Amino acid sequence: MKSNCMKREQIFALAESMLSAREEEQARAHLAGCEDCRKVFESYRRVDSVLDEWMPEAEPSPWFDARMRAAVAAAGSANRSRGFLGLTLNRWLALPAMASLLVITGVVAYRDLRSRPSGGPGNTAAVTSAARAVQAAPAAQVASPAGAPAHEAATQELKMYQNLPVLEDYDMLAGFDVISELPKGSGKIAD
Amino acid sequence: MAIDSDLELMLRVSRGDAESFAILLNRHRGPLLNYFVRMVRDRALAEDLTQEVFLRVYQARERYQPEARFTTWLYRIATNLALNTIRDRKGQEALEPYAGQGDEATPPVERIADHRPSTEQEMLESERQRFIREAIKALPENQRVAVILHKYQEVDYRQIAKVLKVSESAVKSLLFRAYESLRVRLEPLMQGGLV
Repeated sequence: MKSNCMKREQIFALAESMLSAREEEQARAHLAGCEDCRKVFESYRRVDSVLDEWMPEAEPSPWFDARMRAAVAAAGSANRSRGFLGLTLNRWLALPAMASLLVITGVVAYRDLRSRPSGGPGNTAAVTSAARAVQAAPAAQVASPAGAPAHEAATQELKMYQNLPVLEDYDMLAGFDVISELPKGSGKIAD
Repeated sequence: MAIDSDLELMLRVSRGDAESFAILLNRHRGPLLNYFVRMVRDRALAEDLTQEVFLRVYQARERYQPEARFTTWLYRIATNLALNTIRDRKGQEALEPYAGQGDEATPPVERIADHRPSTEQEMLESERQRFIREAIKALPENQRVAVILHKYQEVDYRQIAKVLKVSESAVKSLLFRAYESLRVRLEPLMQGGLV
């Protein structure tokens, strides 16, 4: 191509009618006197006419409309069954049921807690042993005059167990007893 | 009787008018089907995708805002669907095991490129048409979309720009590069070769 030839992009723009009227007029004037540019222009036109041959022209199948109607009907019914905040009717009905279930579970759990001894499950053994001591105390009182203070002490112990929430972790306290009973000088722990 | 514009029809659809939707469907299903046939090269899949586009239009009817031409919106949905389908299909085929047994002995690269049309479509196609199809298929995604929309769907540059979310001059540049490639690839046909 010569130095005064049009740019390929401009020639393509001319072939595809992308230029303004004035630009097109100038380009056509150049093409009239330039064989190289005319050849390029013709090559783009030939590409266009070759592309015209690829015309599959498919037609929708006979069941296209029926399938489309079914799809639209399904989409419509799905929308209708959707209610407030996008939840379906069934899901809305499930909400009160779930709420009722939670309330019932809460009430049962609360009543269960209320029916238990105040110290909780951890101090059941301690309370039981203290109660046994209280029950056994009158017999000891008959056998020995020293039984009265013993009964008193057992009653106090029972009250303490019932009132001290710290005894909820009875196992932990029992563990401290075991440690305190370790003989002195046995600090070494065998591997 | 005046022919209603796509925009008027779509606004009626958004107000619940089923008849207007049927008119739009009847008006655009053919061109859209052909667009998909050219994009995905599978007649049955093209029909499924055409239905999917109209279903999406129907589902979005209440949110429809007449900001652009109806066909721009339609082709934007269609182009996204087509490109996603092509990418998914390539991904699936790339994940298929290549065990080197029986038909599986075909190298993966060849199988990825093997988006063959149906037998029926192949019978209808001449050797020249197949050559053109392959030349267009070899173009980069954006160039392919631009060529098909411009050449076969007769969508104007401004609309193509909106579909591809690029500027109008970028569309013209895409088309120029595409035609430069096609000029080389289609040279045998331009010389009158292949029947």
